[in-house]
Amino acid sequence: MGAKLGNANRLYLKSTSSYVWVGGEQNNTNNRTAEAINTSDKSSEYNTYISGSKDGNISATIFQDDSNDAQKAAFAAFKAGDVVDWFVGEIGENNLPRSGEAGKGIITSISDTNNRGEVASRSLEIQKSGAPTFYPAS
Amino acid sequence: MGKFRSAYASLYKTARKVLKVLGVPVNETSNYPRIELHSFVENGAMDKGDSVRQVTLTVEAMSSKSASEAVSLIEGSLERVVAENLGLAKDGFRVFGVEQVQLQDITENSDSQQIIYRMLQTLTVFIETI
Repeated sequence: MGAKLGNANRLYLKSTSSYVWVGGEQNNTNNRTAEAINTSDKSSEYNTYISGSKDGNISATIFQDDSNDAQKAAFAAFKAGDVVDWFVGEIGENNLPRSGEAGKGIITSISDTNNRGEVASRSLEIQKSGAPTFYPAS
Repeated sequence: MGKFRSAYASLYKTARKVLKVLGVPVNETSNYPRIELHSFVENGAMDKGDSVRQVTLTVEAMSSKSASEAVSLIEGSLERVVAENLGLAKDGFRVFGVEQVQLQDITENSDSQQIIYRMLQTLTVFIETI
């Protein structure tokens, strides 16, 4: 068994040419979904399905840090509507993905929460676009 | 990832040093008047980089002379702890916020009939590694 803490799987965004950790990250959620297409007919009383389009999104809660390159990259992509390169997982040697999932996506939401007496936080939403790459390759 | 370092020790030493400016003993005697720093609680790091910390502590000012002396001491303490930069940089930390959580006034009668005036201020200090 290779259980590990969620601390290890971090969200990275590509800034210039390399992945940069989204500094101040508290947690992230990496969702993957596949559409279920109903192919049932009257030959059976049970529904049957085939797998349809795959999709996914990523959400993360981070502490606001406008000096962090990944947070700056997220804002720049959000404003310009650009595609971002994301990675969720563990980075290994030479700043290359070791385990996890990488792909392209668009920033769909950046929400800041500024409560009195609490550290200013930010939630980030990424809609995945296209096929992701999984590490290590299976 | 680097080794986890506690912010508590740095905060304790620095707060004790800045409060000594008030001219009364800080955590070093049972005489009056005096100031005590106690009930420190450092929670685990709040982010995956082990950077952001939250430490709660209580500053207590005590006087056997008058309530106003205890009030003056607690006001002086807050002025230094809340308003001044605690200067934890040498230990690799930065204080980026201090919240005053609760101020409590207690007047005590001891067995010897001596009246003790106590002011307890609970603070939450927000710290990040630098």
